[in-house]
Amino acid sequence: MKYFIIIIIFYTGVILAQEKKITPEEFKKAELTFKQKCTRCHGSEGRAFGKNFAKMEKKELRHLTEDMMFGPARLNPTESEIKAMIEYLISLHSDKD
Amino acid sequence: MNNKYRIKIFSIILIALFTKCDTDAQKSDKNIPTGIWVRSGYELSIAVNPKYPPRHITQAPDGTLYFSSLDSEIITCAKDKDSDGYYESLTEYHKAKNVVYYVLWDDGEIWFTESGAIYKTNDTNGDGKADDVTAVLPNGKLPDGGGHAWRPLLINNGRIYTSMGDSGNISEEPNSERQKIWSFDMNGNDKKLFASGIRNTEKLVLRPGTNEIWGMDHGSDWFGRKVGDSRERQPITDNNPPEEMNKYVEGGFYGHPYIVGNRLPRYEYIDKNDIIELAEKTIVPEWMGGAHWASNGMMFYTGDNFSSEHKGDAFVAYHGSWNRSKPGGYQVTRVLFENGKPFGEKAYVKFIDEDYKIAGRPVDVINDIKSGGILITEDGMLHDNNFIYRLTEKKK
Repeated sequence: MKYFIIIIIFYTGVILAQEKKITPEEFKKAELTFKQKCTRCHGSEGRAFGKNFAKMEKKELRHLTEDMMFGPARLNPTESEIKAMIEYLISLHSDKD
Repeated sequence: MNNKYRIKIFSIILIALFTKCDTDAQKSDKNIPTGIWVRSGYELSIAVNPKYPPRHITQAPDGTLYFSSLDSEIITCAKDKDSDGYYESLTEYHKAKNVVYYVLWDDGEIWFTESGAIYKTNDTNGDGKADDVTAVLPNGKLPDGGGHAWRPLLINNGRIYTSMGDSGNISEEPNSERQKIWSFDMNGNDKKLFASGIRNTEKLVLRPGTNEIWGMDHGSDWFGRKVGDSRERQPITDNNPPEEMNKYVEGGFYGHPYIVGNRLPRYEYIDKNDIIELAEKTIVPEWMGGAHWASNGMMFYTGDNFSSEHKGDAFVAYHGSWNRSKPGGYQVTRVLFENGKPFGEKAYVKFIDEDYKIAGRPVDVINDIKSGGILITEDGMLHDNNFIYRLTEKKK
């Protein structure tokens, strides 16, 4: 039993360590995507409707980001592109309100 | 002709040339970006070179301009102090709490809207800065939130008219305050429902000489998805539904989210028990624009720079599409009227070429009191500079 718990803890650690972090390049790409696809309705810094991005529940922000990327932005984003966009959206106003 | 005369004439020509160059240089040292098409017989010039991409605009009777931007909470005041047509003096008129959508001059006051509030302001000492700001409808008295959260504003006969669009695409939200035009007294009280079934009307205007309230309503997205349209192939959505030019009447229902265009049901609501009744009571548009063209701004022409047959016609600013396979809109058109009814439409300025290359995104159009032409805001951020353009007729 003891060994079993140790193995579980070990592998949980391994899985967590493996969860891919957003790279600076992916973040930069998300910023560029936002400027190209989102600014026409949200302004270049997301001021229109975007002030609450940082305050939103993660699930809600995820849902909204997917909706917008697949919808008006007409993108076909990968999982890491969605994650990078969420991170970029959170960064937009987290230090301003 | 002797040499003395030749030198005199040559000097006069030189002076005239230099004076002309100098005047042009004063107007603006920026050039109109390439790729913009203008109808033959008309010309564009730069009226303002604002810091932030301009959204909605209003003009005081003395010609002073006030405009908003999605890139700032600031309303900019622009003055053309030397009356050369170029607004060289820009001041921060007011910094709001949230991004400002609409601005409106009315009886000496500048009104503006945020998504969930309406304010009026005064510049009592004329320094181009608001020194008296009152929340007529403060946050909490109006719906707020995402989706189509633009808030137009119209003042007529002592009433304020405003609205907010669908929270998504074709949301069924009959008990919400959205998708409706409401009116209030000038203090923000005595709230009354004016019209319903509206998806996203970003500007409300009066037809000159009447009390008729007009506006362009954005058509919904993904019309064909229910029957198989996808992002890769969307022959139905590409051309449906139209943008709607509506004459909004008290108690009127305009169809959204169930009915589009000429009383055509959306597939999603085809099995609704009362779909025929809904279609029957839907007021059909007075005119229909290109599908997904995003008709943000509208005005009726009252100026005297264009030939007289333009008077009473509408101009529409189409911000441009996202829900089409190939882009559409991105232009300012004239909608021709006869006896108060539209009967035709033609482009006057196009910010898109035949290869679908985009050179701008027009948002709003207003009459320019100074020139008698029209002013066009453009917020596409596709160039190094932001511009408010002036369209005038070329004089022979």
